[in-house]
Amino acid sequence: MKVLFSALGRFLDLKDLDPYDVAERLTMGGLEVEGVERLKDSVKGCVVAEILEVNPHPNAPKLKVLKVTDGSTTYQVVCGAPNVREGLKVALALPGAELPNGVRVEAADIRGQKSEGMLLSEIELGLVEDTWGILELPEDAQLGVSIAPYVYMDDYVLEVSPTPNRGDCFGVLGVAREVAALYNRSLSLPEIELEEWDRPVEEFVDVSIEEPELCPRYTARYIEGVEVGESPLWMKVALKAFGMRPISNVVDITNYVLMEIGHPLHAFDYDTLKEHRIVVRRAREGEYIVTLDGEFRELDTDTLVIADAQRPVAIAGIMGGANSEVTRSTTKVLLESAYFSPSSIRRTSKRLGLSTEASKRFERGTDVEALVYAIDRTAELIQKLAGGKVAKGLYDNYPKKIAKPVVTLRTERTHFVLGERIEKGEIGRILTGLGFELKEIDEGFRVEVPYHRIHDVTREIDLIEEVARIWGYNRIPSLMPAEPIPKDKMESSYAFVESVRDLLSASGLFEVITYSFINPRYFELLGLEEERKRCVELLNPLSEEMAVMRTSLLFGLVEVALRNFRVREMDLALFETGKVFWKEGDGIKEALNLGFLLTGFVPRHWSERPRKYDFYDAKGIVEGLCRFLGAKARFVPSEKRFLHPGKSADVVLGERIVGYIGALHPDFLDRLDAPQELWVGELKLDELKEMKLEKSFSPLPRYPEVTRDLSFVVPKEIAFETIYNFITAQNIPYLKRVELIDVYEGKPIEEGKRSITLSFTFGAEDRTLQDAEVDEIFWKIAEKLEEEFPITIRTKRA
Amino acid sequence: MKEALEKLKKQAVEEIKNVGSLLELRNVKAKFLGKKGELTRILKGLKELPPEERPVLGRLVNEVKVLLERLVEEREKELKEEEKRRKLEAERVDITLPGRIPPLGALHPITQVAREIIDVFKGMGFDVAEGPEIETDYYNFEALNIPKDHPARDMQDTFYISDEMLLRTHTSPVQIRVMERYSPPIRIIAPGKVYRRDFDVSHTPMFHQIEGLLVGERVTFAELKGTLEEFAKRIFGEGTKVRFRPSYFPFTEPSAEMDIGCVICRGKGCRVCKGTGWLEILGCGMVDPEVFKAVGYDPEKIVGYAFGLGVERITMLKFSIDDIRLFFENDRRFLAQFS
Repeated sequence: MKVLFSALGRFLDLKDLDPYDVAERLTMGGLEVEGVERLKDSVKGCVVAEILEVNPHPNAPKLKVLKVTDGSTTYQVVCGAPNVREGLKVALALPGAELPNGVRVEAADIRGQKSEGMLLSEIELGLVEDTWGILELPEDAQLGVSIAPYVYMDDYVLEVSPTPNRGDCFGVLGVAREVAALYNRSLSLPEIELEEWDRPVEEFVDVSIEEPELCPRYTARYIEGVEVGESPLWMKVALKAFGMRPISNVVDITNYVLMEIGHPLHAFDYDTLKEHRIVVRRAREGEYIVTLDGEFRELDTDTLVIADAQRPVAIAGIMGGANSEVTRSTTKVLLESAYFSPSSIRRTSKRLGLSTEASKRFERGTDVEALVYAIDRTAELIQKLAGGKVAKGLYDNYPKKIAKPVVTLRTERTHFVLGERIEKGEIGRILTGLGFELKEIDEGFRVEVPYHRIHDVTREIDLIEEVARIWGYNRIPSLMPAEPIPKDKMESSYAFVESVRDLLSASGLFEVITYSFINPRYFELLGLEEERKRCVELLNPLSEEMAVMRTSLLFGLVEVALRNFRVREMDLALFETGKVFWKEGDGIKEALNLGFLLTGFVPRHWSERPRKYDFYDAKGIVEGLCRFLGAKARFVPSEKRFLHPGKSADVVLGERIVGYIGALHPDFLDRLDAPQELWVGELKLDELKEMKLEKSFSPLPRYPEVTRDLSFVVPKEIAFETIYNFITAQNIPYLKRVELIDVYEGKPIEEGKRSITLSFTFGAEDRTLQDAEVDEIFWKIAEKLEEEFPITIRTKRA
Repeated sequence: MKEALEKLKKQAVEEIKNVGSLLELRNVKAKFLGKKGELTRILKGLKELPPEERPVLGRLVNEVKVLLERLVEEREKELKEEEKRRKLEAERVDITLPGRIPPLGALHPITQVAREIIDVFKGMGFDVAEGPEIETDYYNFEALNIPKDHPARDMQDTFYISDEMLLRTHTSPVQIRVMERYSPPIRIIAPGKVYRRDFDVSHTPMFHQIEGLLVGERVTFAELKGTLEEFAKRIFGEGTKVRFRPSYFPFTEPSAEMDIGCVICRGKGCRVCKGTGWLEILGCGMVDPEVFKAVGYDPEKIVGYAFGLGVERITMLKFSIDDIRLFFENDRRFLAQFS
């Protein structure tokens, strides 16, 4: 919200206050000032000048060629305004000046006459879009100086951003109250100067409230003989500074008071109100209204409206209706200043998707007392600026009295919470300065909360915060916690996940973090229509690309790969740990997964032949992880449709499938426009964590072990594991372990077969084995293999 | 005879000196000192000489033999040295060629910074706690003193899954879940992903927060300040300036924002700190009594403080990254800078 600095002066003495210092103190007191704008800067290069001569333009009958002076130099300026005349003080913008409406002034040639500057109107000040003539500055304006003081722009605008609890700071008055408290100055509300007519307001209007819960108070004033027209310059400049657009004096005044007091008001064209009645009620089924913004809005029975005898004329607290709008022909005005229930306004504003200056304030809670001051101030300004007779008295319908909370503040509790001993007297001064009414008691104060703070100060702790923020947070000392460190250990997978991340990043993979929401198109692209059914959908996604929660990390990883391919990064090894989500029954489940993706070439060294990632890289990641965790995984053929049927496997731990690895199916590579093979894998980390085995120690061998290697040729369709499992199932004496050391395909091995070399390690617990006895066992194994499988032993018997 | 011996000696010395390899040396050695060598031949010729001359010449022959053997030995040593030198020379590698680096990946910068932050708090006795990313309205809002129709709901534009389920907008629901399960004292840190409907240079719809909560029978705002100042110094350096500004969060009272002196311009004022010299780093405050009521604690007896910080923001400051979206684009060239 923007606050015109000089406007604060209505409520407190601004003497010696520097706007920048005020901004800093407000920020440190909890009312953040995001910026300070010096209005003068926006009319830089614009000076007071006087018209010396007015001559006709030889080539353009509507234009005049003027001689103007800034007191030292005389300029020639071409101008078309009708109000140019000799002796007039004008606002002259010299070449180079950048004007508030965005125009940059240049010296120009206008139909053969040079023009060395520009005379400003309200258009150039950014106040209006159309006007009748140039600005006329006061006769005593000093030549050659900045025009700022003569156009009410020798001023500052503070951009304040009140926190949601501080509805009271959505107006100059509220900000003034903070400034007063922070600088220990007194705040005052100037008397209203209003000349009332002798006919009472009740003669002209009747207000009934059908919903006192939603509208506890409604006040009105009647003004007759108003002349709707333009606002004076000071008002237009102020409104612009507040971020509003001048419309007409009556409307401008309600807006000005809204900004000044922070209380929304509305002006109706009295003659449009049927039977001159106001009824505050819920909208009826089927009712509608065209609001001031020209929108047609259907209303429902939850919407509170201001109606006349027949129809809604405003949506209460949000926006007026076009049917009762104040126009240029309006002469009788009915002013409204009311209090509406914050939650009702908020619900309606949300439902209609309509947030206005009024609704913003009502939904945060307004001041039920200050609304009277606001309507009187409005009437005062209307009378002053638009004339008219103000009917006697305020129509005040206040069926539901709102009480001020009374809260006890204990001095000791203040110390206890803050850890800082603030003197009782100081506490009293701070709260009084903020407008709280105090009664001293033994343990502290009985505090009556003023109406402007009843929405956010209802408890002792709220008062403690008030004391702390005005005292200054930075004056409170900084200490280390004195409480004992808890004995309870939290259950969390943090340490486990971090160790997994360390392992993978140390193995050459780069960690990625992708959005948890994905494009549902991926389900279709990867043939995962079933997954689509159980995925969790967002009701209000940002876009279709982020519409559903991922059920797998695969999607994000593939997307990262595709994005990298577009910038010619073709060799990737990536992993991600994160949650996946799915629907189960009526509930939603989430689980922690690990996903990885390999594509392109393995990081190359000049000494080795380049090699692309393959199945065994993917498998190795899982095996390495399992070794790290002490778990034993099995790999079985996978039936996942998005994987290459011949280059994929499910990962099995115990009896459970805990993941998969494999190449993405070529069909899907095509659909994704992926230029090269993608190796992917995904593991359920939660389940892996459960499987994690405690590491155990077995004694080192005391006698040397003996190894024997066996090479044999075997048809390719016999899986390695079949042979391996056959051997390990044989219960061979002294055999400690079998390791695969070589697999070879190609010449001289015949097509369809491969050569496998296994290394057998033998050892005994109590002695060193003799070569002869090892040989015997070893060749017995070879014979058994020959009996079981169609293999040819290549190792020569010694 | 004597002349012949002298000649032989001269020839042998010359040849030993000139051999270029161990093999040649062996041949020369055989030629002069071998069983069928020249010296042996002369030795055999001794018996042709008159007996009185034999000892004299014999001694001479022996002297030559000893000399030659010594020369051979010396030459052999030289040659071996030379050969070794040649071999070593031949084995010389080009030390300027790149080495074989074990494959090195990297943790995502967000993970690295989150870990650094968590480690600071772990050092102060905080334990890591976690909670679900899909939360109920109750844990995300109601229990944190953000009732329906509360203006504070506007502070965080929420992704909804149903009327009651949503993507958590902050890590604060973990506070509630932990307090429901455990009794004070509590000292936890809760890192995790959070979600808000916002997407531009400085906002992504998903980001990372770290929540802290310390609850007990005697906890003060002064201790909140002390803890967080210590954190700021450990993360941004010992000389980091810190200030606390009053703010508003529905679940803390009093509430504050902590600013640090701008790490980019050192407080002079720059684009990053918008000329203020200060950077907003985290939100914090004393746990609101309403929150304690929601978890069944007596707010008169139990006090505590809580704080929440954005990991992306701190990472951006630490590495001078100016577009938050880079974190989630995962360009390999970006990630590789954090190895």
